[in-house]
Amino acid sequence: MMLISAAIWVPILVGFLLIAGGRVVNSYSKSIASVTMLLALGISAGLLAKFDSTVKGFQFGEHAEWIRSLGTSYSLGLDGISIWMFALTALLGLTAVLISNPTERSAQFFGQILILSGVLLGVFAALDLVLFYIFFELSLVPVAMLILGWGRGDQKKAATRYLAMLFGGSLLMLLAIIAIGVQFTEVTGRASMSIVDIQAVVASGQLWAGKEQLETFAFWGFLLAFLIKSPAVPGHSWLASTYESAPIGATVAGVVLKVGTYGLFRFCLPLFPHAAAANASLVTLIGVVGIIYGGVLAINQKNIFRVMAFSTVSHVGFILIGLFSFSHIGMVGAAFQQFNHGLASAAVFVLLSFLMARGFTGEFSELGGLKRKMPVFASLFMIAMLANLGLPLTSGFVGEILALMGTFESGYGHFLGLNVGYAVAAGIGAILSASYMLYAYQKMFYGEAKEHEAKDLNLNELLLGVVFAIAIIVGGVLPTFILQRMDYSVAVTGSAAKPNSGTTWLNGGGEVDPGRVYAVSTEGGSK
Amino acid sequence: MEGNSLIWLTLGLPILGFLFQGICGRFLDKTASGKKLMGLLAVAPIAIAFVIGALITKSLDPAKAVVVSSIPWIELKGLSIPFELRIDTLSMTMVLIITGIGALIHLYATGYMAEEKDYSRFFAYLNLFIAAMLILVLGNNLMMLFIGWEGVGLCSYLLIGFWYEDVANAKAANKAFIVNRVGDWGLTLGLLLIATLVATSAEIQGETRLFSYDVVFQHLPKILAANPGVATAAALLLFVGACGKSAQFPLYLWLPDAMAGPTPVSALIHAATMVTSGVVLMNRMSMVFEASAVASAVVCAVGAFTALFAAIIAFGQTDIKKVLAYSTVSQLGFMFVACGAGAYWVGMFHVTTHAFFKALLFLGSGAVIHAMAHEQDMRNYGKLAKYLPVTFGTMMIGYLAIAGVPGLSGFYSKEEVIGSALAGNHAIAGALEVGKWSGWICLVVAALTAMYMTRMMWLTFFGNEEQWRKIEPHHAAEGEDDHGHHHLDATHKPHEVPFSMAIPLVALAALSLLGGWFLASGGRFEHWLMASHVGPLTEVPTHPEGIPLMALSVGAAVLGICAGIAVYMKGLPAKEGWDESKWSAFRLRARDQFGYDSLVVNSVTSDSAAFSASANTGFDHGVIEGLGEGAGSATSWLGGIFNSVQTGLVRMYASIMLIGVVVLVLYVVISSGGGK
Repeated sequence: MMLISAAIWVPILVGFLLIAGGRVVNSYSKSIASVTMLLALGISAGLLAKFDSTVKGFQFGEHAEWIRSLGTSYSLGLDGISIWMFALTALLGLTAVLISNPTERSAQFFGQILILSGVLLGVFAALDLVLFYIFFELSLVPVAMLILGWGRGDQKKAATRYLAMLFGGSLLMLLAIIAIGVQFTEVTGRASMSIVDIQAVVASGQLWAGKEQLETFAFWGFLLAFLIKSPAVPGHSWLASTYESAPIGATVAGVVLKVGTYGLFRFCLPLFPHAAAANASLVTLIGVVGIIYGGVLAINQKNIFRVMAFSTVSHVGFILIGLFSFSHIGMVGAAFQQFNHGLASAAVFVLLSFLMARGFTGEFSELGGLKRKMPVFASLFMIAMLANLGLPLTSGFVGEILALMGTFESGYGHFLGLNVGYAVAAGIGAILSASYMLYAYQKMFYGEAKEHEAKDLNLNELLLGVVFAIAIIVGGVLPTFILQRMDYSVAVTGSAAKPNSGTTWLNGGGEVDPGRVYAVSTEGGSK
Repeated sequence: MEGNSLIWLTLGLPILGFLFQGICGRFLDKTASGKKLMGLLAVAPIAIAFVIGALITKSLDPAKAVVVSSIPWIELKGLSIPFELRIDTLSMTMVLIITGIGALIHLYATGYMAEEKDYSRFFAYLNLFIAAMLILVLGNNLMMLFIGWEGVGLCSYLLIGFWYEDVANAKAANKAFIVNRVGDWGLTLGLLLIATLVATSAEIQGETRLFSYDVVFQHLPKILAANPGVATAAALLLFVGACGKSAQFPLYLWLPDAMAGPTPVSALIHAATMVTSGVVLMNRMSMVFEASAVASAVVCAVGAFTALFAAIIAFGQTDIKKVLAYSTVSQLGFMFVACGAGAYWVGMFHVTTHAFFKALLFLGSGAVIHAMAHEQDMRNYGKLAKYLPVTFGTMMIGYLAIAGVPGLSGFYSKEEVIGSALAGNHAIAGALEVGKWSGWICLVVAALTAMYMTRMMWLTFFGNEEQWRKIEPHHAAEGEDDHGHHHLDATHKPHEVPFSMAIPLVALAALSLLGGWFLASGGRFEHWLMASHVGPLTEVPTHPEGIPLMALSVGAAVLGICAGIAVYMKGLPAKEGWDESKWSAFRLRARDQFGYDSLVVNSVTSDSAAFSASANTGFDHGVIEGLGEGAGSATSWLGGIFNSVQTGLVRMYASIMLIGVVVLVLYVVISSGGGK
């Protein structure tokens, strides 16, 4: 059926056509882009509907030989973790088109957005290391182009920093990919870049046998790239300048999606189980530091974009601690949180785009008292804000509480060990998120209305805002719809993350009941 | 059990009310008749919910807790958290208080808020609050409790900041939410710890509802008995949460500021219901506190200290609502003492009677404020009894009840709080009998309570002068403030409340008068509520032998009232008047909470702001951005080979990609070479 390929390549193709068409298609470009992304969204919704949460391995797989000598193939597929990111990418791509009204060169603008969305869909569906790397790297280009062509503020600086940090961060990953390929050929005598193949050899314990240093090196190559991309402290400085300078359409379509943490799920745990286990405590520490560091810095920012940047750093921390708890509950929490974060941040940015359309820049000094003039907008922003501060019954709560519980669960085995300390410290994140979100809201909406023209939302804006508000609440009230489709895949990933587990994506871990793998008996000893 | 599933209707009606008020209200509440309609539609769901709740309560067998059908919420391997409701005597007691007193306060608010422009927004929040509070008490698992816990916090935030155009109100709302989040931090860790402990129980393999009360109650006691240290940790973490929501020291400081909200909110949320959540939590999880004498001692000590501290501060307040706010903090301390002493049902008994008389006092103060052009300073009152006969008569009953006059509701519950603490059967830390000490402190606080309430009543309703007659008349242009209210001045004539506000006052006065006697007689409330407790409880007599409890508590009340009358008989004393230089140093310190609030707020806000700012400019801009800057400038330098930065970047990118491909090709060559 090649449905995944269609969702990836149709937007890319149309995107190039729009750019080539240039001035001729300017006036139709938004409609063309909307229809294209609607198609991609339709495909991903169809895949979601047909997704079977009990099937082992990847679904909707596509496979074609590509470079035989390299072992590289064009393989795509989705599991319970990636299908949500895939669908979210399509949704946010469409949203980015709908909220954008570039004043010049709109064909190029929408072309770049389409290419960005298509490439990101490829990132989430790729099952081959080289294919993944190419999509991963290519996704940087349209964002940089969008910042340079349609951004605000210090565009050049922002674009340079964006490219330099993310590209530089992924250089080591390229080396690691090569190392994996060489090692795979050495062990098996054949060439393959398919992660399904590679992981099967990892699970049997053969790939890294006697090569612990190489495994650790490769793990860190991937880890650094993904930590910077996520971003985690201290690799986060590109995010604030990108949020400030990128057109909001680019932010929604490309930047809020958690490609980095997805990479940790997909590659770092199943491919390098020893190294992941050995470094779990360190990565958790990075997560906890990020939760607190991001939260503290978000309190004192002078514009809403920078608040969102540091809030992201804080939220990414929860994904990290959940994932590296290696507890099933924590990992499901991390998977949910990385989906929710894209949704809830996008909701804020969509609403901010309405504000920008009214001539504001997002500086708190020019905002204030907006609630009286824009009551509907204020209510929608409140819902988006509540999701960001993790209120129960919004989508923001489920992931954070499960991630925290995972940290707890993995920690109880050694009660006086550090992990409980991690949970205790990470819990402070909820206090900080309330502080920075409420102060930001107060500065924007409360107080005397200022002397500026600000009409409340028009019908189109209202509809879009309401869609996101409903998504946030449905995600919080009925998260099981999402969780059930993640559950099995996360369990397999968690099981594969144990050294020499024998768990592959294809056998699904056999009889291991991942739910209780890390449970501890009443007597207090680990099982 | 079809009758019991009606409980979903009790919960659903306020939610429907919220949705209707929130979505349609803004179009309908522009006219007086539209407001009438919206007011009716706000009161009706709560009143009907009360009737349904009463019917369910009537048919409830106290010995059996009923868990009503569950809808999945969070479901994954190894963990299942459904939406499920628990009907037992504890939850239904709270349901009746929330919907019963809630309906009365909604009715009162239709009159009190009649001139507001955001009429339906107010009732949307108020309906939502009722729904959240019902989830808190009715949920059959700790996560549902947490949903309600955060939900009522949100509503409290929204209602404290209801008049958001004044930034001070918005800041008070922020403070309430953030301080509560400190408590929620403890609660979150506590309930995760409990669920993790339950998960470890060997027998539980296969049971995944780790947060559900029936599962927790079944497995937890054994685990806690085997690990006393963990029991203390769990109890103290839950207690941190209780301290936040129930405004106990050191987290009480959001509640006085919360008085920035409209007075019906103060009555409903910040006196009768939400602030008692901590006591409900300790009742629900009594087995955790029973397992740790140390934690119980901490509960007692904190409760007793808070009761005393807040009572002293109340003497320094001139704002009528602030007096009642500190009184609430102090009375909550009584409830905590009872729970710490092991008499959990006494804590709930005081919750119930306090809900009657404190809601009444708040609504009465609202009537006074309403009558006095929104002036809240008691120094502008005096001799109001003759202008406001209904308000005066009902408030008198509330006053006598809180003062502990025998026969009224407050007397019964307060006497039992003191008695159970003096029994000293629980809350013993080492050799220190914290329970007993707390009981004696509570006795002193009972006298202080009677005295500061006498002060409030006399300054407001009695005295020799109508103090507001001394205010200069305002100019016509300044005659109205932002909310469209008139300013108070010498020409002002106080007016009695309308009918809609009088009904709740009279109803609550009747409850304050008779409720305590009715519930106490024959141990009715005790037998009713004890049925909901699971697991062994310490035997705590409420009238310990060898202590003349009756004489002591009556004596405390009479002493406090007489002392109050002696000082305030003539109304405002000069040394408590407008000229604050004549105030005693102690009263000035009490007014400022002995510097506690400003110490905490200043150190937290300014220090954390300074820390955040220096981390931001110093570390993040300097060091972290330096990393990005370095990477960026290295790239620009490379890119500088080309002319324009834009094309340069892309070309440079392309060239690095090319290098990557070259490396890959090299690898192919080498590896295929090696393969042979």
